Amino acid sequence: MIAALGRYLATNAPHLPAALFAIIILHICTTFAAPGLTTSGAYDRLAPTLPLHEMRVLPAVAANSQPLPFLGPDARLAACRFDTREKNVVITASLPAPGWTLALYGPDGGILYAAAGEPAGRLDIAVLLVPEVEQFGGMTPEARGERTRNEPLLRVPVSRGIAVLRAPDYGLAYKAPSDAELKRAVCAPRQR
Amino acid sequence: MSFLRHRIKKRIAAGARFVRDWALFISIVIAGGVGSSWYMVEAGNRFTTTTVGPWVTWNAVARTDADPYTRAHFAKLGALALSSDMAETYLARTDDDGRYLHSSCDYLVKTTPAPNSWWSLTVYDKDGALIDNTAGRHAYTSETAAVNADGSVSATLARAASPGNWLPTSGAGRLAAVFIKMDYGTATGTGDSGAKNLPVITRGDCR
Repeated sequence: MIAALGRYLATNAPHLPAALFAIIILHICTTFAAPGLTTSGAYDRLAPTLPLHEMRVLPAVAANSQPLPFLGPDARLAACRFDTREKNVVITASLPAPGWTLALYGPDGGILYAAAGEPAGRLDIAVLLVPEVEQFGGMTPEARGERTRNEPLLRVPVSRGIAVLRAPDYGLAYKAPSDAELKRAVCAPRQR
Repeated sequence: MSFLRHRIKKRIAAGARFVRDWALFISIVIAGGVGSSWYMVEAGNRFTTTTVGPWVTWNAVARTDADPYTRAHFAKLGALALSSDMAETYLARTDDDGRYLHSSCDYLVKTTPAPNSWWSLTVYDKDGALIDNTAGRHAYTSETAAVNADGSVSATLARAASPGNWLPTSGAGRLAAVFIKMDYGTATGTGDSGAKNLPVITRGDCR
């Protein structure tokens, strides 16, 4: 078999550059297409369990309640499924200590935005999620006669995704305050 | 008549050679293109991953500027990874001697955590599922683990109950250990400690 392949390659040496080129093209196409072709990605698994535009504290992760692979009980999570195609979405959350994170994931699992708690103190975050088209072509609030809003405008390159607020496990004594902080996070639609 | 038969046979043979050559060409292209992509997505390379002993981390995980291999790897894995800007997430499927972690063996995982850091050690089966056990124990963090007198932390991965920080492995078969650390020494949340303070995984008895 190997000898036959060797003979084939020897007789078709002029075709090798074409084969190499085709391999490289296929390699690139396969790699770029892989996230979109995955049907068991984090978004696909988590999104059906989450209501739209509502931050929900997920149950403590355990062996029988583990929504995603490699998701451990070392953190408590609150998550919100958002969709900016109809309405803008406002997400507000507090990151009271280091280890706390807020991350927005797109349907392909890619990250859109991330923020982490700082040693210096509490970090309050308020972001307005808008579809990309509005950011470029839409009218500003001032042009529409509305008051200027102070939330930093976050550009979202896709219209759907999941916001995940993560509270690291600081032990039993911190469980109640952590849960309360998670529940305070808001994910709500806002009219354009 | 025989001349015509000979011509037809020659044409069929030429056609068969043509089909065979193209089939081989396409097979080589598909195997090379898809296979190399699969390998780079599955295992990574020195540009996309950092390996320290048995621990592997993807350098650009969950970052907006992540490379296509990293994006594809975590999309395929189906995990909500922490951004490498905020935390370092290491995965080990072998011990320090390169032998696969398996629930039929006991392991001692020992580390000396950096000060001002949060870390966690979690044990999963090879597919990333938590291992069911009566103790309901799957992970230790810097806040929940018992610390040795010298400041180091030891955890035992074993089927049978063990004193100290014990993570049950039941009958899970092949195992995967995940070590997450966040150093608070820098503004980004990740320090420059790199490979420092990563646990050493030593195999003990096997049954």
